[in-house]
Amino acid sequence: MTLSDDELRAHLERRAAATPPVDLADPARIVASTPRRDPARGRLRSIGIASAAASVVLAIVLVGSSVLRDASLASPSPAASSLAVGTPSQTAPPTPPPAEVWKGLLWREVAGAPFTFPGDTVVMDGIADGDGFLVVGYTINGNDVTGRIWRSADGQSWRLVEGDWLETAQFERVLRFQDGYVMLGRESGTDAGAGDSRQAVWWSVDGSTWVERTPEGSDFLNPWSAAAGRSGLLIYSSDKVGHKHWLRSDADFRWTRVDADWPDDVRIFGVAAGGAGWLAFGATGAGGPTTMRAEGTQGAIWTSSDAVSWVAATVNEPGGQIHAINEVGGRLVALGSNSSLRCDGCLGTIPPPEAVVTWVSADGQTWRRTGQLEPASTRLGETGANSPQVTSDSSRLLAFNLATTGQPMVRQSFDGAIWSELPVLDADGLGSGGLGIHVFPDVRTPLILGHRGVITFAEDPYDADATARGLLPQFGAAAKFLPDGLRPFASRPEIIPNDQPCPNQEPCGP
Amino acid sequence: MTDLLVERARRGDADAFVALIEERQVAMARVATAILGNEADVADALQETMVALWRELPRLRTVDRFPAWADAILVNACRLVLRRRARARVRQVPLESGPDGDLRLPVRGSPEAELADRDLFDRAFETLSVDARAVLVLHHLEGRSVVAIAEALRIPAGTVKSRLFAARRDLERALERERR
Repeated sequence: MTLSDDELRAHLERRAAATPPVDLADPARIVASTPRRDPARGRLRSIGIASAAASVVLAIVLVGSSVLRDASLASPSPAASSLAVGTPSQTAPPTPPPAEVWKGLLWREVAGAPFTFPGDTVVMDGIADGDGFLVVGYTINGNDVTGRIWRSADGQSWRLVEGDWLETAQFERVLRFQDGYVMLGRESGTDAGAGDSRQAVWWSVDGSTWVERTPEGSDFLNPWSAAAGRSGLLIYSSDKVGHKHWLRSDADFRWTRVDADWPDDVRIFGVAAGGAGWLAFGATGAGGPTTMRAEGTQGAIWTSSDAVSWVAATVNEPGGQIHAINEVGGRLVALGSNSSLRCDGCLGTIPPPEAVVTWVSADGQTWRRTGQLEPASTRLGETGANSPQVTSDSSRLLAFNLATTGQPMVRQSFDGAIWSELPVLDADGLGSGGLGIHVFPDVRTPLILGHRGVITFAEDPYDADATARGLLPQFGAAAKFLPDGLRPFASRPEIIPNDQPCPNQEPCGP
Repeated sequence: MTDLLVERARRGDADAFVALIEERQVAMARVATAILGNEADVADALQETMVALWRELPRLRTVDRFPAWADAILVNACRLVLRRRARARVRQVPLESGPDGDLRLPVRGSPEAELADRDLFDRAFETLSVDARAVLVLHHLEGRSVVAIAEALRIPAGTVKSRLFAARRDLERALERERR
């Protein structure tokens, strides 16, 4: 019996068409659980074996039998993996290993850290870096601006990255990119006072040695938001005449500019990596700085694979605006609020404390509203510290705010839907007196979540006579067990409102 | 871009490896499915392949050889899976029962006949060795040249030609046997 080429190809096509879902094998999990062969010696590295074994033990202890299938992948022998992933029934999207459950945060002030300089110093952004952190900001002293990069391996011991080039730089964002880091900021040249600073991008493999990778000939002025992912680096910016655009870079910093011609009523608050490549988020239905819209705005998300064509995602119960998107536990979690963006750019608007609304999506295209994290109080005037401030990494979200009692409140979630309270213990005996500046200052600084805890920075109490002022780093170390002898923070003393008339309508004293 | 990902993955960049696999996963699944024809086997072969790719990548000397090298590992994984699962498979030829209870052969050109034809091909194809299946799939399904297959399977181009010829002949003979 003869078989023509066409018949053969048709049969093979038919067989291939029965391809099962391709997420049966999760490469990320394989990487995490498979030690590599040492090319020089042709044997397994002992550290790889140790880490794989530790992973297996940890996985078994933490999550019990449901993870045993994953743990079996840690076998160094490829032949042993047939019992693991690969049954026909496993068609759900791959999920990362469950995060370690934290039982509390042991809050302490980090002493002796290099955060005090002449002038005013601010921390603008930071990222988890191994078990520690990489944090960026700058110091303004007269006409001089100096970029600051701080690093820590554990959140408690910090060192300052030094270099002459920092004396004309100003850092505003830091991101993980490929196997290194990217910073966005400004470069002022030799004369910062001349006001000729320009936007700049720097890249580093190790976090200490940085190389400038600014797009040539670019006049981008305000990087509103930036994200890094497998598709490259994407910056949402505007040029000197206010035209919004995307700046897209591949892994080798080959830049492409794409005009962002959004309708007038669209506000893009940020961009994130995920879904088909990129996710932009914000609101629709916005008016201009002088326009109040009775109907308000609606939260919105758009997806794109190339930053050229954007498709509106389906957002169930979209609320008023969407502020952030993070990848947590293998799913995308959007954070926003119910409040409408009624007056974009209006001055003097004091919003009341707001709830944080969450949406979840597996693919970035369809979003389901999953939860609402209420503020401790909705009284007008209790704004800064009462609205939950959410920070996240790839495995958990933490929300910080002050409770109505004045005590710090931290809530933990692994999906953006279910939140549980996390005790904050006073590990340094800071007491209630300094709660406002030590734990949850009204003026929020970045809260950076790492593998071992969370770092934030309070401003040093203002002293007009001081020639050097600094920041007070506060580290909340993750506790797997709550130690004896430590107590939660006491309540903050009640603040007497100053908007009530004095008794008998008499003039009040100072 | 692929070369860059390969280089980064080779040096231990997990994200690059994930991106690299995502780039190739559909194609690998397609080849494995055509060779193995069984979803569970395909899943295991893909799993084997990815474990081997990650473990062995540091030993890959030239990144531009990655596609051929990955093909070789995939075919080898298919071979291992089949060898390990030397199990009897029961397949049913779709025959209908008539009203009086006797069996009727499907009418030629009917959906049942088409189904029987597919099953016939699958049974014949699965009598072939994995190497024979691989050359047929890579050449006739994926459109790879003889030279590309030779590089992937690390055999001379002449051997690929003879394997293609032999595989085709063996398949046709198996079809004859199955049809009787």
